[in-house]
Amino acid sequence: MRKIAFFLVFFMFLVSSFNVFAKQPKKELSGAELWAQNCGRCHNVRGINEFNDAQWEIIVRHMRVVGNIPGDQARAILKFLQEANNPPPEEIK
Amino acid sequence: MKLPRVLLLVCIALSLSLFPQGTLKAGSTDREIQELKEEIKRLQKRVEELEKKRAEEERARQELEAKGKETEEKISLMRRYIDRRIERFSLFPSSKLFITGYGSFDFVNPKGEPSTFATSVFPIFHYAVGDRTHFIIEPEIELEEDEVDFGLEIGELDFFLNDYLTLVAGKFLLPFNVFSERLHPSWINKMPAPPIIYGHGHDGGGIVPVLSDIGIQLRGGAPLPLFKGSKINYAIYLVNGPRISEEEHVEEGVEGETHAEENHVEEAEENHREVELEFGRNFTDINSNKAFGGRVGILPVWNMEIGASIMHGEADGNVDFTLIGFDGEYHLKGLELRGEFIRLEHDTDEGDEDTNGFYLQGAYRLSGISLANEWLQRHINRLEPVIRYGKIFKTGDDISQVALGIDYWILPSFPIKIAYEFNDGIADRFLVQLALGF
Repeated sequence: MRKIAFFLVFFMFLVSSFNVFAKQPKKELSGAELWAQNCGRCHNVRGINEFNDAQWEIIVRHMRVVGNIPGDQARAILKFLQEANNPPPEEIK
Repeated sequence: MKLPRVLLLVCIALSLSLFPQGTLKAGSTDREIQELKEEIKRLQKRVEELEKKRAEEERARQELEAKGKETEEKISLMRRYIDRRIERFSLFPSSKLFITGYGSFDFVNPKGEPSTFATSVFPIFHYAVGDRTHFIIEPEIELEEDEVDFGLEIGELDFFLNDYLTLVAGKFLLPFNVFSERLHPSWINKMPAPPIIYGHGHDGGGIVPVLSDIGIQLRGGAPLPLFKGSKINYAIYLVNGPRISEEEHVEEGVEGETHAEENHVEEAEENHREVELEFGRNFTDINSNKAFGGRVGILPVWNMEIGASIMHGEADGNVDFTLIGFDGEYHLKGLELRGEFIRLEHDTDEGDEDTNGFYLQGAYRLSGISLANEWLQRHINRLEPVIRYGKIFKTGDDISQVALGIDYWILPSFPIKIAYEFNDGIADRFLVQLALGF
């Protein structure tokens, strides 16, 4: 019974978390800022050119889970990494 | 009369022969000179025009050449960009396979005990399908004593339910505090060994090992409307839970066989059963009582996190246990401070037993130091001194540790770590580790 109660409270907290906080006006951070803040908290940031676009996509997906990074922030980080890793020429931007 | 006339004619003839012809044609020569001058002027003008035209052509040629080079560069850039884009789909049309991981080579020298070399490798296989699914398999390969120890640290499926919630199923690292889940890989851990409360990491000891278990988990994170970078993260899970490992210590001096029945009673009285929880080894649950737990972390500002964790369950033999944890970290430029606390409560034959422990760690990367000597500065900037203090409070069996270490970062994921542990309760140790994250 105690377990169920704990679970319910925690789950309600969870649900309210992602519903309520998601609707709050967010202070926008750039992909570069999010990358430095999220990655550098646990380990040295890896070189941008160390991985290609496809590899960054998988790494960011993995880190989104481990680092509990919200999806929109993970996408901003990935966009930054892929653009910085391989800037598209002006003509095809 | 005739003679003078002849003479006159001769004189005229002589005069004509003596005077130059031009003198005689003066008017027509001036005109010709004038014409010639005009011709020269025309020719000069023509030459000037041709030179101007030639310069213009040269300028146009140079411009064309520069444009050609620029176009070539653009084409090369576009080719590279297109090639990279093609790479994204080169493995599989709708899924991606990728291998990362880490490994280490260690030298451990405990005071008064034999020193040893050791090595371990943890490849991590990632397989992504579509936009929402991600499989991770992390086998562990360690060389221990006379055998190769194979294990499975992670074998999980992640499914992104939405931007703020992910479902995780399989064998995963438990989000209890942060060391197990985020910091234990050797290329991330600033010291060659785990904090004292985590014992030998994967191999147990301390209060708990690096925690992993089989089950399901819901987790995620969301921004908080406080400051730039404010965030909350959360996780709950239901897992098989730990097993019980019992060690019996029998007092010596048991009576002879003739008093067998009496001896049995005495043995029961004198035996001391030490209950130890084995986490992550309960591959098939031995009871229906699953362990559950969770963690909440708050980042009021991006460079500070405070977390609280709990795990509760029942191991075999009706042994209730509860794990409570707190963790915190703070970053400021090159400085990193972090710490964790763990409390383990569980039943024993003699009643409830609890074990508490914590560690505090500080590290400072000397990357901001400027020196006149460029070579020296480059190497000093790669150094990171680390200090860690840890203590385990166990009834009548306290252990404490002060560890001093220095890391040299050859690459961001390739450190050489040297440390000395001053231990109270166990042997001091000198450790060297070469770690690599790949």
